Amino acid sequence: MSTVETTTRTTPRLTDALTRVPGFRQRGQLTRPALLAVVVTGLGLAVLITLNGNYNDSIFVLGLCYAITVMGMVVQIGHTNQLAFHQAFFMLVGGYTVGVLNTKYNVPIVLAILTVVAASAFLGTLIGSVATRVPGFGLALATLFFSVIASGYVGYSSYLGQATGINGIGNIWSGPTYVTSLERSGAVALALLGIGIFVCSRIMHSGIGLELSLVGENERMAASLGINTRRRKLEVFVLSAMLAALGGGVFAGTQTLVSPGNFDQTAELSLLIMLFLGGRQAIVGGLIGTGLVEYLQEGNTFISSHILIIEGVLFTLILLYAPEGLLGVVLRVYRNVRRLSRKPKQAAPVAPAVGVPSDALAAEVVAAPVASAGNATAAPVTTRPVPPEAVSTSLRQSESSAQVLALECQGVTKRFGGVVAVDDVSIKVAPLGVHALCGPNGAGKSTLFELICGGLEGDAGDMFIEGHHVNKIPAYQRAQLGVARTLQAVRLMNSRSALDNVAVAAVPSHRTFLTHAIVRSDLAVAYDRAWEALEELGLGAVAQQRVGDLTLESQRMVELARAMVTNPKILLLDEPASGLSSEQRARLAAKLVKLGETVTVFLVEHDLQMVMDIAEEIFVLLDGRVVFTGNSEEFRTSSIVRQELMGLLANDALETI
Amino acid sequence: MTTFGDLFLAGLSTGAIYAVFALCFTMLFRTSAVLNLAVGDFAMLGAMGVDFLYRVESWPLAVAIIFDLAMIGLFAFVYDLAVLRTALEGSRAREAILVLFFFTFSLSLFIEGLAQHMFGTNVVSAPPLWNGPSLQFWGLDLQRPAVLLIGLAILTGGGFAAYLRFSLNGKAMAACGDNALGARICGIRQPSFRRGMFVAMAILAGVFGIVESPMTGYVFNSGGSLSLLGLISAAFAGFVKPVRAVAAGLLIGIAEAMLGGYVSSQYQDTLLFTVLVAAILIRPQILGNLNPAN
Repeated sequence: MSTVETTTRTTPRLTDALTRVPGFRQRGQLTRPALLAVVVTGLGLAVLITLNGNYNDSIFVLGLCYAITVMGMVVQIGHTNQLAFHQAFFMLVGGYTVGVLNTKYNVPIVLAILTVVAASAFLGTLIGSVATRVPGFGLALATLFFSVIASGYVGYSSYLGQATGINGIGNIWSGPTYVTSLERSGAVALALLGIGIFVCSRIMHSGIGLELSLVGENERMAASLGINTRRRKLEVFVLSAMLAALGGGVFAGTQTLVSPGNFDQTAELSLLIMLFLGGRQAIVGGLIGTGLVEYLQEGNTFISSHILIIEGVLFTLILLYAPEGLLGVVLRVYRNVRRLSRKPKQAAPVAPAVGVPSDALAAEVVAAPVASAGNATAAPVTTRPVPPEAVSTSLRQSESSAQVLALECQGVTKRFGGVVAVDDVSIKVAPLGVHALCGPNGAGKSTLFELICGGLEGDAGDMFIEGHHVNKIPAYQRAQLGVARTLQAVRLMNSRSALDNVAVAAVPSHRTFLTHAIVRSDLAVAYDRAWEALEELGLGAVAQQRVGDLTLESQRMVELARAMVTNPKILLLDEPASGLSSEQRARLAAKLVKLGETVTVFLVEHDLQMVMDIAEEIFVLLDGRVVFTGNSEEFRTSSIVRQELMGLLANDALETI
Repeated sequence: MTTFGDLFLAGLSTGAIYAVFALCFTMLFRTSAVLNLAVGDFAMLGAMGVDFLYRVESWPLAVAIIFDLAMIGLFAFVYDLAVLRTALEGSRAREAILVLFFFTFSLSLFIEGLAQHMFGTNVVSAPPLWNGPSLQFWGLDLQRPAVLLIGLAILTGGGFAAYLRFSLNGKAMAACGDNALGARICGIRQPSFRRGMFVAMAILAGVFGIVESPMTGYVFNSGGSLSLLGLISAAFAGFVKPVRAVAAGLLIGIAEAMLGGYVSSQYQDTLLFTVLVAAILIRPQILGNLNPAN
């Protein structure tokens, strides 16, 4: 396929994708979040001045405090899919700490807020490191009670003013007197909200943001790609705790009083309604929801007297008919209108991106991954998919291939209750080339793979990957050592594009902290590498399609591309040919042989013909034990293979019994 | 000793209501993997509805109770038809964990709002069903409603356990919760089991609201905290065994009373929740092998 063809065919999809993934271009990654933050802050200031100190102004400022908290929830609940209800608790911590520090120790509000945000990072890490161990449902259940406990405690504490709370907290900004105190505090709250928006937007649109959405979709998959899922979950927990504490601190500094009722379970529920009503997956959605709920609760006497009924009905309707929230509805309507209005006048399938000249954009986007990086503005774009270090290691490896085995198992055993699934298995896999593991169903092949990847822990024996003893090393670190795998059943993010699915594995920031994403994003690099990996496997044309819409063969190839983009040393493939036609198998076999030139390919496969054609070394597993090791010629003539494997395929093997 | 005995009995009677709510959570979760967070609100509707019909509208007590429970059942039925059916079945099926928490949570808001407008904001209660002076056990006072409550809780818990274990319907129902798709393939009408159980649990909660209300009284928003206690009791019983759910509810009630009596009456709920949540966080295995996504 020529480059020109690819370019024309994928152009519309690429531009479409840009509206969804603003981080695609290096330049857009900084400006988009910054622009969003500035626009929101600017609009907010305009509203603040227009309202001019009346009652609505105070509602608006109150809404800002919740909006800051909701930003963290967008990242944690919406983007990363971690349902946790600890935000009202951390708002309470923020609000009361600022109140106590200011009223009892005369600490200036801004200093108190900074203190409490730092403290809540610590507290969040402490609680989060315990809480994020709990699987999804348990996390939601346990954190559901945080706000009940905290508001129950402060409600009876005489030091904290019991049910009345703490009054007379200073204003967050005591500055110039020609503006009202509401306007002053509102301005500071807006500035802080702007910072929150910038940080959250940066994170969501970075390479780490892509990792986070994968963690939300399928944790095991994420771990197998080298993502430390527990740390990522902890990081978003801490992020939302810090933003909630900031929201609580701003609440104290703008409302000048805090009481238990401000931060109890009802407040938590309000926060959740804000998040879901507006659209939990986007910053703007969170802002819309916050504004709307705040207006409903405070702005109109008729509505606020029926607020429970209205919120109940509204929330149910949103969950039923627009789970992506009001923002989702607006976007859907907008897209439909746009599609309808364009149809008659334009036959060409080119879809221009919103507000950007389409041709320039398409050219730029396509030029970056396909041609080598002539673009001086995209600084960290690598011209080759393999970073220089990796190249040199693979060279070194091929020179000294005799010494370091790609994989070595010594007496590896795994029992499930009384069943010995893998029994004292010792195998040595030399680097590079295609190696195969065969055996009837239930022989322990997949279990052995699972043991190699670290998904299961062995009961006995030692495992070495590239000479490293890996018995105690968790799955994500083994992936970082260079073990990549595909599973028997295709596991991809079906609603995302093939490019996204591959890019998530190519994000070079697996080892960095979440904060790294705020400073710089590696997304462009990841997309470049993903693009090249897909091109290499002949998938350039479908790179922008939803993975769920692809054929099984293409999905397997996307999986292969995803495994390859991590620059693995060992590629474990579990039945890559299952479900494919003979034609597709032939194509796959050719690709595997080619891959074997650069990495060690180790596959489980039932198609013995394919195995004999491509594998230079074959292991046969039977009832958990290795019963055969040899090359394909020995395999063909081995009596045990004929008896145990061919017998299952062809009746003529019965003669040998 | 007397204090301990009194606290024990008091705990047992508050525990009985948690037990029943835990039972409601468990049974519905087993049939449909839905958590009904509005269960406490159905109890509140039971109590406040009977009070309204009997005291304000001067209906005969029996008619008031039957009408009230019928209305609760009808409401639950319509809700299931209009909301849960859409949320759980067909092409618009929603993510499990959202269904789990948020639909019934919105229902809870809705019911509270409705009750606020229909019944006002005062604390009221249905009349006691079993009148007379409190009963004496080894020198301890026990209110008659409490006896009724504990007895009913144990009876319904045992009844449901027997139903699940011995009847074919019960086994089919349990299969729905274990694997909804598998059950459907085997020809079990999982949606109608869910609907039946949702309505039955709403009515059961209403009954217990009526029985319990003379002891504590209800206000339009008292359902929420009761639901939470029922939920955590059911969680500690792993959402599987009805008898275990009842036992967990009773134990948590007793623990609450003991904390209130011996440690701090102000902080009894706070302490109780702290202990229970800490237990979940430290040993998540307590929750059993929950997989609401099935």
